[in-house]
Amino acid sequence: MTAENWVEVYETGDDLQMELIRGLLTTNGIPVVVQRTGAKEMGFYFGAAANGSLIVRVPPELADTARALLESGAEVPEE
Amino acid sequence: MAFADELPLDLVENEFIPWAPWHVPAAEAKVALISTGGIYLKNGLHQPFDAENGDETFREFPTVVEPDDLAIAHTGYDVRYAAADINVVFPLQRLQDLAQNGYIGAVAPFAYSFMGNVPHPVALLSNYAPSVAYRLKRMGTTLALVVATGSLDHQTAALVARAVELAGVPSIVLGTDRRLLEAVRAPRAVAVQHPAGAPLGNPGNVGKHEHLLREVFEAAWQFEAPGLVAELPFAWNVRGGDHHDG
Repeated sequence: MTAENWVEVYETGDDLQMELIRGLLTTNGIPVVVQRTGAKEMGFYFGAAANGSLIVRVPPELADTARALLESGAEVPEE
Repeated sequence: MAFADELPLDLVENEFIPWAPWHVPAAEAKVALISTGGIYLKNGLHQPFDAENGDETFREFPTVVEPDDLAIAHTGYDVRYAAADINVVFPLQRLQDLAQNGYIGAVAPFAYSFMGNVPHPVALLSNYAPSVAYRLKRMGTTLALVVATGSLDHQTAALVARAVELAGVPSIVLGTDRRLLEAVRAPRAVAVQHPAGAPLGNPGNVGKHEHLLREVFEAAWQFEAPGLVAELPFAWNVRGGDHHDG
């Protein structure tokens, strides 16, 4: 499953929110790549308030499932 | 630590060695892979490591990625072998094969890479290694395999392994330099006589890679105290095949 064409299903500037989304998708069997942009690449140096985006990407064939999960407000289980 | 003083590297001196007891046998273990090989996702998904400047960050991979998705940014080892077969430094496919064959229980859903050529691991110690350790713990990982590539990578691998053990997850560092592994005091370590750029052995030798990993797990399972380094009789064969004396 090549990651080249994985599609964006969520974008946030909040590290904690990203972790919750990542956990929700992963525990529902959806692989996730988190793409960091801007100062988020250097989170340690700039802290959680760093400018930039955290883009959550998933395989294209699972994008609709991922979006449905995110819209359902499902609780975040343990991975 | 006198031994470290004899090595041509300026190493962090570790006294206390963290130790998480390893209770779950390999056949039931959820194994997470961590490499110091400077691996990242191509196509703009990951920023390449800043290898020239001792980048201390890590990259996270869902374990469904394919070798073609991966690239290498590292200045501390010869990347030719890894370019031919990424499994020699990032044996994700080999671990998946072992899981499929029932030798290990499962592969954890995320794998990680550092760029191990880090001369000043301040942020690594305070932030990045604990962050990976936390992620492993949260995934329910019961064993971490940490693969060291270049010379200084042995220190990076050991520091990451120490953080992982502090989080309560047993680890095994696989490296190519026994003296370095002993000097940096990895909790559990196994050394093989392969080039730093190919700890698993010759590129493409799938059977030997899997054999080596099995031996690594079996050797580390026997450890009853922290700081031990086992040396396995795997040696590099310049004619292309791997040699195993065992």
